[in-house]
Amino acid sequence: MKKLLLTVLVLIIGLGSVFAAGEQEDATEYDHVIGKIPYTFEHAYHQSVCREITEYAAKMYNTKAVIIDGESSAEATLAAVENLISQGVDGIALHCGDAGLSAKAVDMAHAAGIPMVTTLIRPENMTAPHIQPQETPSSIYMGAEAARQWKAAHPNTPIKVAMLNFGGIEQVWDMRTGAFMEGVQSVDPGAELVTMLNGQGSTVKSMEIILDVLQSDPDVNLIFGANDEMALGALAACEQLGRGVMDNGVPLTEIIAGLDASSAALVKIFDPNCSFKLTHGAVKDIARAEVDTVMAMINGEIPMDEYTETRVLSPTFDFWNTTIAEGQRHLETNFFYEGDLEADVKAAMK
Amino acid sequence: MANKTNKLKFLTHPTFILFLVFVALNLFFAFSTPRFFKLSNYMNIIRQSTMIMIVGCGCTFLMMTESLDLSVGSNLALSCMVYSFLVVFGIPGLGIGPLPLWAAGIIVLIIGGLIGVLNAVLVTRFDFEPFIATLGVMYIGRGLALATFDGKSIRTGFPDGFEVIGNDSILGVPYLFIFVFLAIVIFSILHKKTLLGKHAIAIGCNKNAAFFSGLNPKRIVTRLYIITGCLAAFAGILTASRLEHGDPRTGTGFEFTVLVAVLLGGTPLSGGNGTILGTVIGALIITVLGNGLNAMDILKFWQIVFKGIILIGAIVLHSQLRARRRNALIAAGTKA
Amino acid sequence: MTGKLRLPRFQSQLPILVGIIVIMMIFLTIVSPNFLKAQNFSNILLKIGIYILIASAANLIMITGNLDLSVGAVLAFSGILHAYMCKHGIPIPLSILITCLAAMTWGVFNGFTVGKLRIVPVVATLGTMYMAEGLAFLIARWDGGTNIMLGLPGAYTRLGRYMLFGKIPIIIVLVVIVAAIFLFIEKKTKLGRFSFAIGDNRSAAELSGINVTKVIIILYALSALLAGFSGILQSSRVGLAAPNVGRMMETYVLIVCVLGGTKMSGGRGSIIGVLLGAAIIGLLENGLNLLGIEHFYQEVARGLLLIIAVIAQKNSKSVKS
Repeated sequence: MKKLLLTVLVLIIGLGSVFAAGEQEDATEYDHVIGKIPYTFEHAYHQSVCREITEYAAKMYNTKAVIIDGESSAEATLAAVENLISQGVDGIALHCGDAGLSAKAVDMAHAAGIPMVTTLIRPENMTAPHIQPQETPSSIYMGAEAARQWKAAHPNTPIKVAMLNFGGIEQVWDMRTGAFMEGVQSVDPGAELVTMLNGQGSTVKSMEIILDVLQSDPDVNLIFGANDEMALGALAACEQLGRGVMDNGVPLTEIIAGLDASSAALVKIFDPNCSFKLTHGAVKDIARAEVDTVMAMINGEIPMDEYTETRVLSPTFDFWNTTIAEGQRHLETNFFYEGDLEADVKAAMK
Repeated sequence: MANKTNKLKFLTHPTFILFLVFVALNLFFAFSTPRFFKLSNYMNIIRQSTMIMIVGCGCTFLMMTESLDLSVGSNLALSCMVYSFLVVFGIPGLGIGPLPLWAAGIIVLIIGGLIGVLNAVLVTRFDFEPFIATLGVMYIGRGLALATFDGKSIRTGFPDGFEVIGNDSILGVPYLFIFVFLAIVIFSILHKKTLLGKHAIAIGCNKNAAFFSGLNPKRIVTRLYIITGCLAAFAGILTASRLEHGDPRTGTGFEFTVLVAVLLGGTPLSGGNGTILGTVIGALIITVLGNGLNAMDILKFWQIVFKGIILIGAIVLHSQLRARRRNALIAAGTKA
Repeated sequence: MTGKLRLPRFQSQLPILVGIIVIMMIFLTIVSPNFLKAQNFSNILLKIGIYILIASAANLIMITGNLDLSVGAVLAFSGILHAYMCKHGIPIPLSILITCLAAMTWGVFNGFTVGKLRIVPVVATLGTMYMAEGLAFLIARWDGGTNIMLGLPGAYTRLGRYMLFGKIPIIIVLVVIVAAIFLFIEKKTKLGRFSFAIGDNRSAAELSGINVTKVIIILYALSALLAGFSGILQSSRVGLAAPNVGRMMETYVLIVCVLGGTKMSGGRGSIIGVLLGAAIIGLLENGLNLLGIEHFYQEVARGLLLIIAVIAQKNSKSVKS
């Protein structure tokens, strides 16, 4: 018994020392350490942001980025902030889903003398630099463009919209679902929002919901998913019902829009016969703006307790107004895409 | 011989082994990364395991009686929302304006208790499996928490002092630590020194025997559900204060975290056994694990895998040790 | 609790379940004009198909007095693994075979910890759940993202979207076959009888010579196999594999079994009950979406339905006995 315990103890300390040796090398190698808290590490979008931050910080500033997941939960985000502060990082980049909690996080970081930059959700107190991806105008544009395309093909069919969201988070309404609806209504004031349900960001869940929605209201002709995964689920549901098609870009059954502009979405968007046609999003510019701002504060180039807003475009990709080459460039720079989009589109069409 | 047995008893006591596991984990992280072994980090660890420990105290008692409560996470979220709502808006339906903090707190504790009553009625009156009854209540509570403010968070209009109990300290000791300490002491006393603890264990060991020896198992289980409900509601108030806003999505998956903490702490699902101290160490192990793996900058998904391995490993170790200890004690007893 | 008493007892609950289903259907027919249509029933069946496939084996596990919380994670893991292998050039049939074996390994592991080491099933399968889920995310990450869609062969979706005679979706066919097999297992085989015996009294079963460990390992392996195969079917139907698709699946499977009259402490339950329980869940989810109910009231409705359905069954039981 005692021998067993002793062996375990020795093993632990031995293993720990090995790790520690590696860690010490780490520490001397880098000039600074910054922390990054993504909203949730589970989504392709946030993983890409974190990867860009890690690589960009290492390359440009010789700085190590420590990633702690916010788990799309307030407690986890708060715990991550507390832990990064006690680890004594030199700066923190936070993407948190709640304006109130962001404000609290900024106060906590400032109290510890650590600069912080926030992303997407503007903190209430506005006392630290902020990165604002321009999602709202892009969503409005997407809504208007989708409505225009539908009205051009079917001038006499009233527009009926179904939406998939993350369940009542108001910023999602401001920047995505609500803005999209605003765009639709700017083209067709009579457009109706039939239903908005919680797709939980999951493809399968969204597919099941849209099957039911199309059952209760088969006339739905615009579907917006607040991320690409949900839009792809909506597409799978439509395809199963023999819908989801287009005649070389002319809407037949419905138009689907998503958000994030990931590779899976762009492959569908540039397929002329598929009804998923619009999405917007950016990774690289946001990630780099976060790193640049944090480093500028660490190096004393900008004050850490003054609100400045860095606006980053969230470019829209749709079948009608963007080219495959633009899509290819976007994926390469934002999603570490190594394929050939045109070939992938062709392969997926078969 | 007796002396030797006592020594053996102490060294192989499951809670002590658990404590050794905890120490080993700490040593491992301390040697692995320079970012872990700091006073401020330990303050964080205790702060982050506060809710698990407070609710865990009640759940330990429940699980001693072979019940469990999966509704604590929803209860916490509902309390967090209702508390925030009451202090910001009051009760608009009755024309009552914003309530003072203490009044809102009392109402929320009562609501939490009522959720406990609902659980208890389903379990004792309708003879539900506790798992199912509290699962149903979990769904209802989560729905109501979201419905309180249309799925949105409440984050403006809080009165002064709202954030005090969750964030501030008295003489350098955070209020949260004081609450946790009080909860641990009170429930340890309830467990060791009062009839409630003895009865809870008696019920878990053998319900029929407990009934025939004059206990009323239903009444005791009901009391324990109400206590757990109130504790979850109190944790909800603390969460609201700590987050400084009312969040209807808080506490998702909390029930399983508490369940795992209590199980790690040596209270089996079959009841009849358990210690508050074990639950506290269980909660600390869970938090230290997450904190330490983060400090080592381990990829999130490997962390999930490790969590699974360590959970199973710890329970296997625990049950093997318990079996060995029982055998050793029996052997010592026969020899004596 | 003798064998003679048990049979009429649990069968008496079936009329109650049918009654609940009929009431729900009448209600939905009145409030939603699009409910009573063939396409809608196909939607419902497709949705609950996966639940039934997994629950048919999970039900037997519950009959032995254990439970399996890892099914959702194993489902997600298998979907990702299958997609990963197909994408990287392994022929689809071979990939399906390997995935099924990998899924079964999780089940055998569960069976070993629960049956052999006697670990509480909640903890043992929760641990497996974490491991399978973490690995699912890791495989997706090795592939370069969080879901696998690009580069899947064209034939990938053929299985999940296959229609027998051009009309009946493959999932529905499989549900019928699997339910029939488990009805047979439950009524006619040693495995079924042993499961009930273990659930009634594990020590007695052990003493009467039943190899309890073996039975439990077989059941967990079956449950994981079906979860894995469901993951393949599901990802093939959607044309995309994502590591987060299994969330809450374990709870739904559990609820389906409980609604069907299976006791969590074991010894009672039936595959017919599982089918009816799944129908109730399917109607509820379908109805809530048809009516466009806000998602938070959907949660409340789920909880209420669970409680009401169980209370209705309890009452029927007390009347009979």
